[in-house]
Amino acid sequence: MSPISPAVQELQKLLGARNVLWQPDDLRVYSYDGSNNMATPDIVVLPENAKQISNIIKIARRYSMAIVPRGSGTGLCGAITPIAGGIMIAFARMKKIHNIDLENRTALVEPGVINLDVSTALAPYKYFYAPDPSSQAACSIGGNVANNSGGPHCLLYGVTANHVLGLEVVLEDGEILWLGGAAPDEQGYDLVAAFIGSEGTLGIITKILVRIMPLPEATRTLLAVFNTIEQASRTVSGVIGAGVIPAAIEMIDGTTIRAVEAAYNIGLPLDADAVLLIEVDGPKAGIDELQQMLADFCQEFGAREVRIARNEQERADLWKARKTALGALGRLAPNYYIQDGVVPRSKLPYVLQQQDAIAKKYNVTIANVLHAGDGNLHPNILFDAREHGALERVKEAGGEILKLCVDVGGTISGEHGVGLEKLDYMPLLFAQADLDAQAKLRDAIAPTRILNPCKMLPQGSKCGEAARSKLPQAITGNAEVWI
Amino acid sequence: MTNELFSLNGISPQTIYIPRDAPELAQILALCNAQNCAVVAWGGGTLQHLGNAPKQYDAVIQTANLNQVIDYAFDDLTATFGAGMTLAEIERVLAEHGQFLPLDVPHPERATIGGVLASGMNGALRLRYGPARDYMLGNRFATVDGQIIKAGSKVVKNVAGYELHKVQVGAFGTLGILTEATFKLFPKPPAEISMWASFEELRDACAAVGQVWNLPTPPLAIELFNSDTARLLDSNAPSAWHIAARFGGSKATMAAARDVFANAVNENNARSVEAIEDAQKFWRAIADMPATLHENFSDALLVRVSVPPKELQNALRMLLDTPSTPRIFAHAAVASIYASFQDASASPETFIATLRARVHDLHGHLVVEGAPPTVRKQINAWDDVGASFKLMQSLKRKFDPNNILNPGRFVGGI
Repeated sequence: MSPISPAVQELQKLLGARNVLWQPDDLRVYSYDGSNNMATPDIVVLPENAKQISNIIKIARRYSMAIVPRGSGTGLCGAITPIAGGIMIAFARMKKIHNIDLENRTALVEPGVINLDVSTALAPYKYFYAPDPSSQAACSIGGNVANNSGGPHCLLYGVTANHVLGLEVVLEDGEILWLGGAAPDEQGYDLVAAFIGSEGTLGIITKILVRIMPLPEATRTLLAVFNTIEQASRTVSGVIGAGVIPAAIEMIDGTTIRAVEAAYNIGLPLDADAVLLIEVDGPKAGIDELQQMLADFCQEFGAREVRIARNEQERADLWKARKTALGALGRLAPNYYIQDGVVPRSKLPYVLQQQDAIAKKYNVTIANVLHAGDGNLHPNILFDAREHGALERVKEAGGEILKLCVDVGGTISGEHGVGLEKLDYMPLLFAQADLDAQAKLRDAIAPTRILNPCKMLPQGSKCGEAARSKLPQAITGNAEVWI
Repeated sequence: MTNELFSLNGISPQTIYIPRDAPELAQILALCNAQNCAVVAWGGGTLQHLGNAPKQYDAVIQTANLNQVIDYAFDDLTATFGAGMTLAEIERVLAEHGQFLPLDVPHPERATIGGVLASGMNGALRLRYGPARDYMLGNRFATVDGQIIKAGSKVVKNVAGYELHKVQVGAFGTLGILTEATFKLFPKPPAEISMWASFEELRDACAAVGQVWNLPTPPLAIELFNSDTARLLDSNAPSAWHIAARFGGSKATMAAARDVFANAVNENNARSVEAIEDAQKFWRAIADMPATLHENFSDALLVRVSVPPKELQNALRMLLDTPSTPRIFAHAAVASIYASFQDASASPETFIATLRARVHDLHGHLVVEGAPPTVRKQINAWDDVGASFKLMQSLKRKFDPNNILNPGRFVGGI
């Protein structure tokens, strides 16, 4: 007899019937994230507090079912794909901002709170929450913490890990624990650091104490157009090498420019090969000089045109090219496979050149959208999943790009996470002993592996095989995806 | 070299190992593990006064030979240093390219990067740049089974794998011994200005701290101290309370920062406000202050109190509401406060317990960093860590099942 029915009954008793989904049609919505992975959970639950989650975990354990937490489903690595089925915890009913504390510069939020909603709530006080993934209008803070998400402005402000001070978590035995807090230098091992980026494998996060910051007094944005991607990437390493750290340096390549123009007609030259979007912020005093310095810098490195935003509207216009890039790619191909490697910034020109060679070798088109200032590549390999063998070819090309990133001293994921998607690539980066040490960390905190099984670490066990056998299952037509 | 140089709480180790390199260090560690020989990792020894007495102490593994620049990609603003490199040497190497590591802690000429990371020590600049774990990108550490584990990466963004490298920071060498660490570096600000203001009333000084923290030019550091500590900084300023702030940025920003700082402190009844002339010397003295308080007053009780920033004034009032007025020094906006009590109490155990209870009410904790040897034996250096301790024990068992790494010196007897 399937264990699901009695489990559903127990969960319904705990949460009320409307907060437990188990009909196939209801579950389908929860099968996807923003990647090409797919698997359907057996049950989806919508709890509203940590106590309920503690009880859900106890029920899951009794029925030997996996637990998979899901924020907004915007992730790009299959971290929430319920590869082993089980109970998916969705946070749609945990969206409260409990507290904004300007004196401590903290906000206490629930995991389901949408990233942008935090900054929106803070705006009247002239504060903001710095990590800004491109999906910030849709992604949840809980998901951000689980994946240690980045975003354009983490060049200056750092990633999610630098902005989380404390966590309430539910452990796999159901215990509810507070880690960290607003006071500095929490004693003992840094468990907050351990939980950030752990992709839901160590515990379920139920409250997050984030660091908030005063909005900078002034922001200046400029967009530089280049004839070659090499000029643009040399500009990036030139700026960083000169010791200037803007708030953001983003790049889109010619393929992406043409897609953006076709879709939105922003007025970018169609024959350009790269556009850099550079933003600086800080005190009003001296900011115009800084902006001019960067504009001069771009010209020195061969920019054929530099546009400077003179007001908030013009700033939004300049960002439009970057923010609409992914959506626009849908015009070029029905599917894309996004990679997320990072390379030392000085290696960008070389890596982009090599990537071109890889694209030719596999006969694929790559559209590049980069957090260039961080050396974080987002090559989007365009394909049509209906074409026989296309996905396999695309995955091989993607794997070769990741290998290239590691070969020049970089990493396989800068902000999207490992999830299922990059399990096979972890050994590129880590020796078995390194992976074993990471497994020790996991097993010290969550030894039963009931929490989001088969993620983060390649296991070479049944779990890993099960994961691979369900992959790849490309979905046709990526819905809305942001990077 | 005599083994007494490595004495901890009156116990000296039998063996001092000075491995040639990281692989040899890992081999020695595995050997010690096989023989149940308790090991203390030793950098420059500048922070070994922290923590409790070792439960067992047989050997020192010194990282002195791990003192190389392993990788310095100055145009990427990243660098990898051997754990035994001193902070002064790192500073010298980075200065050639106008870059720096914002880790301003005591005794840079002796303190090693491995030791500072393991101790979890941070300085005044953490206000702007964050604690070391925020700009440390990855590291390698030797484990008791003789492996050298790589964690994190060498690039500025990485989410592949658990943040095991960060768990090593502040772990007191109880999970492994750091052999190297990679950092995101920072360009030195083109211009700096440092300001000093004096106040009669604590509440004015604290209000000024909050206001300065919120200035449009974000300060790199805001420090607060009382007149006893000011004297240690060669100041004879007569006021009771003093704050010092450091700003960095373009020349234009600095001129503005000077004015807005003056306005902010004057609005809070500052008795005097001035620019600090020899700023480099001043901030060196500030970085050294935890050591100065510890070393110059070895008969005093030195505590470090951490509270949420908005409790700064309450925490200071609580520390002042004691029989002997302490020397006070605080990374003010971070709310990390050092207090040195000269004649604490006839019963230091009760004194610390009482202070701790009051700090807990403010959602903070209190660590004892220094005490006369007789007192030291009676008190726990660490505060209670609460319910998460079981996870810490579990981690410790996974990484050091025989309990040979610095046993007994860390929280909860780990």
